[in-house]
Amino acid sequence: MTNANETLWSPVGRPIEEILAPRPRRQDLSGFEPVYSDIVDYILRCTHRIWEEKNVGLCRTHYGADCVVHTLAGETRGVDQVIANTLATLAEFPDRTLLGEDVIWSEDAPGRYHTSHRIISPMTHQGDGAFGTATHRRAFVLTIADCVCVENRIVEEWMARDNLWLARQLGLDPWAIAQAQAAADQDGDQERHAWRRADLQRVWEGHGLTAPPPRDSASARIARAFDLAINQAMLGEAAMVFSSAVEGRWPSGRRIFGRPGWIGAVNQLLAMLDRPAWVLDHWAETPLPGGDTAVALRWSIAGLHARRGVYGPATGRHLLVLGISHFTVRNAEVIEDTTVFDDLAILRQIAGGLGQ
Amino acid sequence: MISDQQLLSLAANGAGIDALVLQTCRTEILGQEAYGREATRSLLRRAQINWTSDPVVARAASFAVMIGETSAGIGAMAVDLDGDWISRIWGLSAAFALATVPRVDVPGDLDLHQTAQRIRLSASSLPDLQEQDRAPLTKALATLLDDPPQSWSAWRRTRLTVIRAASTPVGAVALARLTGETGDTEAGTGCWVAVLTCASGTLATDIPPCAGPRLPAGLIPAFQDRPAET
Repeated sequence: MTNANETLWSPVGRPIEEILAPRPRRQDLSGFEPVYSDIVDYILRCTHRIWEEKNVGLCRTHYGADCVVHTLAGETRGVDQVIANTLATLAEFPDRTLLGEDVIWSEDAPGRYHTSHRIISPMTHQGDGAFGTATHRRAFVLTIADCVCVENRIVEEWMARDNLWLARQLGLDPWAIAQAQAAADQDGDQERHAWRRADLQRVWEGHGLTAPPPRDSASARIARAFDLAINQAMLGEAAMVFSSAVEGRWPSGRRIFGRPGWIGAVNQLLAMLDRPAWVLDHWAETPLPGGDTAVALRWSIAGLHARRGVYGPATGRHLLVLGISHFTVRNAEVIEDTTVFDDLAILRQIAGGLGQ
Repeated sequence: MISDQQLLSLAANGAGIDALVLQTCRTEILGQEAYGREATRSLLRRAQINWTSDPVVARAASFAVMIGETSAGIGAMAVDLDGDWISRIWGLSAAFALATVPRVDVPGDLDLHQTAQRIRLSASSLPDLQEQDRAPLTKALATLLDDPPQSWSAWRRTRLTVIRAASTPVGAVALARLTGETGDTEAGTGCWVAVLTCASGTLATDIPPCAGPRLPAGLIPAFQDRPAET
């Protein structure tokens, strides 16, 4: 799952004019449209065509008919739901621009590609929708979308979006949104939330969705740091994989500087939980143009909300966190950390939403 | 290669952005964070760093700093260079407010050790900083903490985390996160500073005055309107 020679495919350091310029195929991509030169181009270009050129119907040729999209707020199934959600977002934020910061990828089996796409989206809240009445405020939101791509189609996706930060930029009250979502969750068939119960159990049993990375890889060292920190409470030892001057972006505007910052951010999650458990669900690493290495880890945390902390007083709720992290590694040290999880969906769980 | 004049024009009013700045550029000015060319242009036009004399341009392969006297003290613009493009911009002036959007605070132990150094500089992370410049730069940074510029003097327990540093023809430059305590409580906060040290001395950017007993950055309650205590 490591790609050694494809440095130039990374969008890092490349202007959009160059990224979107047509080019001949440079990777054997069986079953993909000829317009895509490689798997990174597939992700960047189809995102541009669907979202910015507003050809949302292309989802029919770019998503599997039964595609499952996993977020911490729930799962959707089928391409029709993908189209409906895309249209709804564009109705609310029609000028949404998707600035692709990086695509970290792996070929997990022949012809089966996994891409981890980090996107910053500046946009204006112009229409009524999931975030209420239009506020006409500008905002930006950080998203990481992990996709499994086979023959021109995304067949499964995991998405983490910093929704609470978006709500705050729009001047909205995140707790009020979470309470309203939780109240709606408590109506109707509770079996629609069964995925969360199953995922909590999976994480507590220690079942990650991936095989572990090779021992000497950057991915393995960083994954071990999470394991040490969350499963073993060895925060100081865990932080040694980070540069003493690491800089990080975490959700809801959290900023990390140095190992103390990373420890503080992790412990903010850890300290409020009983039975904390962390598992690795995917990893990939690709070289960056300057000689650094980009690492993508998708992970899950399960725990019992047992103590007062960043999310308020203990509620006794079981909490699930779906997180995706991108790291820049230089000389075996992490120098940048971009981690995304959905704080709003965590508040929603705390408020009694997403099932028991 | 981006010229010094292009950098200065960019700093002055955002001129030439489309040919200089990547579409993914992350820009921090005026206490705000923006992404993309359009938002960066807007921020740069509002920011108006008013140099009162020509700033020094200190540049290396992947990092450059323009630093000099402005109408609000020592100001600077720092940029990450990615070949022919700028991928990140920091605008530093005492005239700019600190962060304006409430962020979730990350509580942390600044030191992790009783004998910790107040300067965090990882040489292996800073390939543009030559070995002979490390010690003088670190010493200059320590001196700034011991004998701070007037605008830094209200801060206590200060630490510097150096995220960029480079050796340049005009001296060693660094961009660092200054963290410390300020106001009536032991509440922590932080802001960016740029420092140039050379044979003729050290130049460090001035920082905005404290907005009140508690600064907004990092100090807003983690989540407003939490569930009531039970």
